[in-house]
Amino acid sequence: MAILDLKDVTGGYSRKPVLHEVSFNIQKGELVGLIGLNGAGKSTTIKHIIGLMNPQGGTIEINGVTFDENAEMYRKSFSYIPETPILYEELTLREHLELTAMAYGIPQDIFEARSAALLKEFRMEKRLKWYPSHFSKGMRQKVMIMCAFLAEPALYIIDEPFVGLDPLGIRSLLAQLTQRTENGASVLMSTHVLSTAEKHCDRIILLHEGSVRAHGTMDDLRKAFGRPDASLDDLYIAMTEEADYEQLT
Amino acid sequence: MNSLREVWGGRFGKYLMELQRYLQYVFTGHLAIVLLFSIGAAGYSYSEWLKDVPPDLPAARFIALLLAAATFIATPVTLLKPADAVYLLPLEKELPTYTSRALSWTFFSKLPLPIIVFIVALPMLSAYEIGSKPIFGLLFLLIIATLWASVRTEFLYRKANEGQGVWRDRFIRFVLNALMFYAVLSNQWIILVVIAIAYVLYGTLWMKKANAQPFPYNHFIELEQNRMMSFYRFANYFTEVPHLKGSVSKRSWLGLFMPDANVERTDAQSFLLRRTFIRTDESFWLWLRLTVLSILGVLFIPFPVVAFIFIGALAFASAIQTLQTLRGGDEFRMDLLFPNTEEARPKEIFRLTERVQWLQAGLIVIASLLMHGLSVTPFVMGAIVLIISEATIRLSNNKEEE
Repeated sequence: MAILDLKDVTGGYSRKPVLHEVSFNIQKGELVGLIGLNGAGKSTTIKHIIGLMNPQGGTIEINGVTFDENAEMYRKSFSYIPETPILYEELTLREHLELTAMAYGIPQDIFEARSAALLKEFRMEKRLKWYPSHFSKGMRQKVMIMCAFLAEPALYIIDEPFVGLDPLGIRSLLAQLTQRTENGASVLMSTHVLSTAEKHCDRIILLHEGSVRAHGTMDDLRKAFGRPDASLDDLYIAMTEEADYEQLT
Repeated sequence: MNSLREVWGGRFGKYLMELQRYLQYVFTGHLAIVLLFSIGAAGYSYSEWLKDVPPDLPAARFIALLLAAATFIATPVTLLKPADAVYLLPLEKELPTYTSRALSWTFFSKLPLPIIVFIVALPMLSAYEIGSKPIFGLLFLLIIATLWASVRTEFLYRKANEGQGVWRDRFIRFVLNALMFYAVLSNQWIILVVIAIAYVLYGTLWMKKANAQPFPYNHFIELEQNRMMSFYRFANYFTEVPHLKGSVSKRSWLGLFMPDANVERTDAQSFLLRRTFIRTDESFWLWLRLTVLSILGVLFIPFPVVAFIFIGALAFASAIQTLQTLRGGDEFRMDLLFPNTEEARPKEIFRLTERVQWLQAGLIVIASLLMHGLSVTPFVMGAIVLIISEATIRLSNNKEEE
């Protein structure tokens, strides 16, 4: 069974849809990259998946459950890292972690062990009592990442995770993602850092103007575009040029 | 691109509208009544005091110090914005067109205070037989000149030093201003000329140093932001100021109400909302202010029926405002994605508002016991707060559910 399954999802902010019958799935232990130009519909897709927007058509299942069927179980199955870190200005770093643990029903001893490991990995142990106003953008992003990883859900939904992170932070994030997918978790990651996506993603979904233009492994995409040695950058540019040409003709 | 003169003009217009927008709440609220009574009472006491002034008071020195105090703080009002550090960078040579207008406004906006001090001081000077009409005329001109010099010098000092050690500059100007005012009031013209020359030299020194430095955009932008935030904080005592949303304070002295969490036993929404209420300035100060006003009403309103209406109205206001601030706006928060957030959050908002209103009722009962002793009145007052709060919370909750 797929961990995340989108079937013919149509949706958007108004009656005019932004997404047009988007379908893809993510299997257990897969890291899937969601790639597209600005305005391609990546963030809208993610908002539909996390339940902040209702699809106008189609279905979204996480672990076989739709949001309408069981909102609590649906929400417990994923954690989300937004592109712009959104923290509670009134909570310290430790309180952010505690809040996440409470919300996801994590036992105290497991919380202590997991949070200690994450704080060490992201080098934030000395900032437990800090408030977000004292954090840099990268640190704020690290808090979001740690909270998402603390819950250890079946699916991680990550929107542009590398923005603002220092090289060590990026390395830690990628290490965590690799470790978690090896342990069976799945990841949907939207990014513009194509070299990293090419290197780390099991599969790529190319989204263009609200539709899935192509998807599959790098080899699948190379075959589909007829470019056996192309990098993801080349394929991405080919896709957009192809789409522009189609629009002109 | 617009010239910097037009940029200043546009910003100044918007700034005046912003001031007007909030000041109308400030001066139509309870402050207006307090000010009216306070000024009336102070004026009456002052006139009574003038009838029989103490003979040993060093009036000239005292007034010189007062006038110096009214002229030495001259924080520049530049209306600079964060984006200016980028967009105005290539226009640094043209910046004096902008800053000269900013300094003119700074001067005129600060002028009323020393003039009021001067006008208030005139009867006292007459009572002590100090000065004459020409001296008062000279003193008036000197007040204008020192304020102008203070505005210019503080700006130049800040530009030269990025604002570091500004109180040192202020202290020097305070002393120079006080000596000049005293020299006029005691007819010591040589001292006046010497101090005036010293002042000119001091100003010239900072002008030279300032000219050698690039414009410290970050300092002036931060200064401007802090100034506006102070104004918004003040205005927030009278009306809701959206710019203040999100400003938080640690308030560790209220740690008793924010105990350490046990993640297995503590409810996430309770944990979050309690901290939101206590640490967010907007919600906390609003509730506290209304509660203190309520207590003052209990202590100082002599007619119980009027006091009942007063505390009832404030209980309604604090319950509804607390509910609204805890519900928050439409912006995305991470707890929107928490499991069972739809059921848990409204319940917890309801509960927390109830609790803070119980606390308000308790404080009212204590104040009323102090005022009326052990009688029915304190408990009636407590009951009014509880009933009105509870009705407000429940009705507002039903409206929300609809």
